[in-house]
Amino acid sequence: MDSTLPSGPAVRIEGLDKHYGSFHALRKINLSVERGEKIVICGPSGSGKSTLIRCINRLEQHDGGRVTVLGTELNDDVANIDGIRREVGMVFQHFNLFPHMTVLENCMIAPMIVRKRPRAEAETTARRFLEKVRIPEQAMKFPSQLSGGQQQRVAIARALCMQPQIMLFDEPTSALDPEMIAEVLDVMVTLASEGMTMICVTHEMGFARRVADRVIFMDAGEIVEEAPPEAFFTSCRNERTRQFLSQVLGH
Amino acid sequence: MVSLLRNQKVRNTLLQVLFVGSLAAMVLACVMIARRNLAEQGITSGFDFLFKSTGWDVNFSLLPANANDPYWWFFLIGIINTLFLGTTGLVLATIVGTIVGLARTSSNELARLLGRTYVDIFRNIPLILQVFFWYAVITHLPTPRAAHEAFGMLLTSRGLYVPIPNVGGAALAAAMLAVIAAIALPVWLGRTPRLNQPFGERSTIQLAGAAAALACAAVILAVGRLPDLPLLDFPALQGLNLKGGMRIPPEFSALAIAIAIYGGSYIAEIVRGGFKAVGKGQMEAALSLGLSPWRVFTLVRLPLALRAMLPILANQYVWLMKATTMGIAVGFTDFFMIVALTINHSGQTLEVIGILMAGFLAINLSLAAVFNRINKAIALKGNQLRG
Repeated sequence: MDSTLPSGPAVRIEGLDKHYGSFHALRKINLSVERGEKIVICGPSGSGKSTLIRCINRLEQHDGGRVTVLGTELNDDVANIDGIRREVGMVFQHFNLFPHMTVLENCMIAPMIVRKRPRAEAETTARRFLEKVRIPEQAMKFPSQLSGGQQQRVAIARALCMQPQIMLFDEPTSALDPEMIAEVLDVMVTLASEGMTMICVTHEMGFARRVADRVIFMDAGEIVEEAPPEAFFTSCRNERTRQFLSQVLGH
Repeated sequence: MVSLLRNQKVRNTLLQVLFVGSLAAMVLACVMIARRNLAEQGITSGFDFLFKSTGWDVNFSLLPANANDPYWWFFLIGIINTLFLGTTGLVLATIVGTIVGLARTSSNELARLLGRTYVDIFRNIPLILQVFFWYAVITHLPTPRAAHEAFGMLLTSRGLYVPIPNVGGAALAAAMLAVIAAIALPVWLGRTPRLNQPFGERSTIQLAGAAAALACAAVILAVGRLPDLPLLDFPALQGLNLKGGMRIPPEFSALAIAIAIYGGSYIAEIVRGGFKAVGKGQMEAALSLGLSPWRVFTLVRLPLALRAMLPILANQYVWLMKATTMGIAVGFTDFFMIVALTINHSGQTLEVIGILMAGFLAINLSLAAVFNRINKAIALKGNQLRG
């Protein structure tokens, strides 16, 4: 599981099905994401966007179809799940930082325990990534002493410290005040320009236009439309997509 | 003058003065009435009785005691007995409560059902009934001659007989501290972030720490050993009675078991609440970083749950400490029973009740202080409402 692995898509999803009880959350999803590709997924709430990306690191278990990440198929094999989670970073809507650890500890804990890095090395890496998300001076603070935007940037740094090959973003700016959204998006744009494979669930259409290689629109558990951003925003074919876009871009 | 009364500060001060004044008057009146009544009945008040010998005996004591000892020595024995019973009960109740509480939060349906049944039953039966129940069970164990034996311990209707080391008291205490260190050191070495070594690769340091502490304990025991006696003093049948070892009376066992089981049901609910209070998001974040479920539990779930539990747990501990006063119901000479006996024998009711109150205040305030200190040390920093 390293970058010298034989080529092939970073993520391949074939015929993915997912139910919550009688609710059919994902219906026969097919999606392939190449290495270095940036995908933006949008759609109304309840359309299955979050469920879809949570299936990629098995925070949700799918009940039909296949999910293959970096050449490894996700199934009940615990070693596979752990191996994939090591290579797939995730950023959540509500940051989910560990409130009992300092910012620095938040960033060091996984590299030290999962990757067995010595403390000094983990700290150097953590400080480097905190620098990258532009909050090196907050390293010794606790998460709840920071603003929402700062917390989300720490969350990004924490995921990057594991040096993952794929990053998943689950509505990273939805819980933020407007003036903090920009600082988080800036970090994500930088990350994208460095070639990271990114799958982002977001309603930030400006970000999608600037960064995405493909924009995917989901509704009722299905992928309704899939196109490069220019085509997506100017000439989408589907009625539901048009309706959604007019609501998101309306004002 | 009227305008002065309208001033808020003046009003507040006046109210305070009135309140404190009437309180002082009430206390003064009580003291005077009590003094007059005592004088009418010819009772001399004061604490001189503390230095007279009691003339009666206690049935269980960790320190040497007999009827010639003064009252103050008996009070001390009572406090130590209460602390001994309380600590034993609290530790056992915590173990029971943790197991049941974890069962109640488990994903296994059977475990959840068992945990719920346990809590429903034992939380709803009054403690005193449970004390009587366990006392009845224990006093119906076999006689010394037909005693159950396990690991050198004898289980009889006269109590539990356990082997004790033939080692001087101070050396024994020091050795116990060393054994506690042997348990605590590996845990601390495994968790402290100051060591420049990954968490997963510390087993050598942890083992070395435990071994060093255990070696210390062994040396202390060897040095403090009483000459010409075997290292352990085993209880054994001699005639109709058991000799040797240490006797834990049935009263103590019944109380300790009852407090453990009854308190355990309350602590189980606290443990369950603590784990429920941990956000699912933090656990998902930890999993998504590739941490194993066990690491997620020890590094994220447990530390956060503990922070939610501690304040309520402290409250429960203070409560259970007071529950040791049930000792009087089955005849265990805890602090409260010593106080009750002293009132009967010396007649110094007011003074002795004062000593009782001061004693329990001291015990429970120290307990609360310790917990507040821990609470403060591990409290989450910063304003949780922000962000």
